[in-house]
Amino acid sequence: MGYTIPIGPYHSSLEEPVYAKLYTEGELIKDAEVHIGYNHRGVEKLTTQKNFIQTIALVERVCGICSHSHAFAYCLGIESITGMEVPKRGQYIRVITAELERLHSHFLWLGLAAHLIGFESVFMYAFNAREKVMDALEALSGNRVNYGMNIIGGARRDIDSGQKEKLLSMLDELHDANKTLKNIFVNDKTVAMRTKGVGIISREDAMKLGIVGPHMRASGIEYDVRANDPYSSYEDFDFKVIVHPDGDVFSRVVVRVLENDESIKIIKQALEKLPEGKINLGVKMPRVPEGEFVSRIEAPRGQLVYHIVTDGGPTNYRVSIHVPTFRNAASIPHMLKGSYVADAGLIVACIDPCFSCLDR
Amino acid sequence: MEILLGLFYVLVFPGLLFCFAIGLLLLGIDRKIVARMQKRIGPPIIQPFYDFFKLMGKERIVPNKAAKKIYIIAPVIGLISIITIALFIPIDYFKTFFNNYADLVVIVYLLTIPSLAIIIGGASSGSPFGGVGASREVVLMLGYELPLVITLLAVGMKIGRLTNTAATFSLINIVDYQIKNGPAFLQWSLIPAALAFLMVIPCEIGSTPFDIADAETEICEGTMVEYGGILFGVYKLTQGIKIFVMISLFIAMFMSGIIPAVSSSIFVNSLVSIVWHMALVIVILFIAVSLLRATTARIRIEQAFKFYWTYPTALSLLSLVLVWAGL
Repeated sequence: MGYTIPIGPYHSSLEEPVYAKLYTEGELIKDAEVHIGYNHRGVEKLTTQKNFIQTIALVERVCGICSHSHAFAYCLGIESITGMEVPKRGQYIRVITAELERLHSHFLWLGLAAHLIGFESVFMYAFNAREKVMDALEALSGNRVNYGMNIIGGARRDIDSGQKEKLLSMLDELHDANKTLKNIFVNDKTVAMRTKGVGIISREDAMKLGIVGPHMRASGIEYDVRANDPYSSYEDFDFKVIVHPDGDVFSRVVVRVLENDESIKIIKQALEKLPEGKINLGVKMPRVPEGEFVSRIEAPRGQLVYHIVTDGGPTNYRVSIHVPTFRNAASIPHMLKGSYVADAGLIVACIDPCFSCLDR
Repeated sequence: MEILLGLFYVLVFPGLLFCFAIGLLLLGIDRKIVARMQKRIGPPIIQPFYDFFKLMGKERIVPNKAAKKIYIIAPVIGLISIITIALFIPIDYFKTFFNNYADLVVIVYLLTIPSLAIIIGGASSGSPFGGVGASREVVLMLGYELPLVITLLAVGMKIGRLTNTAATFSLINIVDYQIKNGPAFLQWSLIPAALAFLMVIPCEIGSTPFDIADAETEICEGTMVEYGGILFGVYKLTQGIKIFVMISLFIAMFMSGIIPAVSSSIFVNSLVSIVWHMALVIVILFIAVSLLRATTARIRIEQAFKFYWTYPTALSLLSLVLVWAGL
């Protein structure tokens, strides 16, 4: 019995539209195709019509989950073209927001992974933890989704001592929540049955496919932009790059759970070592000379690259956004071939896809 | 009088009306228990009733590609056969004259019909998800039917030996023996069989980790993907009644006669045993269904099949061998 099973464009295992076409024989997938482009909004074209401050608000809306990362990467690029030096305190506040965002993204994905393998209790636990991160982000920035923490030349909002205490106590709660999740994911037998040996990408294939982020680190490649090419004072913090050698869905789960711990560690260090001084340069509207810069940061899903070209005018000449999901989506057909229909939804979701980033 | 009583049994208790109420109620209780375990408040216990009545008012859509008659009639046949089983299971002292007509073999046959109805309905819907769901349901049936049948065989043989007859398949005889001599799960040679039966329950009613045939996040509810309106409501109702029937069967086979007769009147005894039965059903629902549902992930079809042909089958075979050896 051969079926052609569509996963998407609208499917209950996907939050966003993408279309994976599965050619199956019984429960086995013989071949797979991935079609993208259902969520195109023309953000890159729009950036050429906006000035630099407006562009921050625009790129923040590329993605609902890693909104800070986009604005962060854009600001880093413009600051490098104009030759600005961001004050240390501003850099630290940016790092705190970025790491909270990473926690948010990873908890969300862990919940979804649990939901996809039918483990509803863990889904509820993970989303409970995610709610706490969102509360922390609200305490920090006043917003739950688009934080608006970036401005060219630094951060927009300062942290006072009350917020600092509140964030530190929230981090302790998050640490406990993550410990529970870690315990369930690593020790539960049914989770292991569903995730071990599923969607394998070997180290060599990972190199060839050019995948990035936690997806790549789960295939045993030790690379993290935060550690290998530090930006915004990441070199001040002590953290480990989490690597797992197996390259299956289980190791992706483990990598993300352990990265949560590292993120909590980074935020704690940043809050404790928070230097005194200004948070930004007080630039209202930057005068950007002609120039070109490629800025790259470690977004929650992997390496995010912004290629920014300016021509000395009031708007961007070109902003080219290279998102991690584009790199990782290329590995989906590779993983789907030879696996079971039961795992297809999980495999598509295990790269932590963000199709609103991907299609921009 | 006989006819009126028969109608009462079929339409009110333990037939249509009672099954309708208890099936949906058990679904609601299950949802509430699981919600509390997941740190949620959960829906009200009578939420499945709201859902059912809402579904009754919805439009009934039959897909163009579906085999229309089969598509409509399959869920109804499933519902009828599951209610029929409810008539055949005695509840301690409460017995109807239907109990004399059917034995375990009939019940085993009738139990397969709702699953078959799901398979036929899903396959006739013309959707690839329905097709995959149907093929998964077939594999699951092959998996859990074997330990189920061996378990029933072991109990029948044991009670038969104890009453000095050949193996008995009459549920009335099995329950009567337990009322006189204490519940069957106290016979230690039947304990493995009882465990095997408990393991079969979640698969038979399609709850996590064995909700493989209608996995929402994998194949979009599988066989039920095209169903909507009252037909979907009937399917949900069947699922609820199946929970009641499977647990009732378990209690009738292994846990009858725990409470002694409280008075000489059969009516009072029946009433007490029905209340006791409901309490037991909820306890077993918690152990065999809700607890498992809250603490496991859905496993894959080949893992489920392997599981059923190893542990439950081995346990039930162990019981059968012990009974056969006269222990």
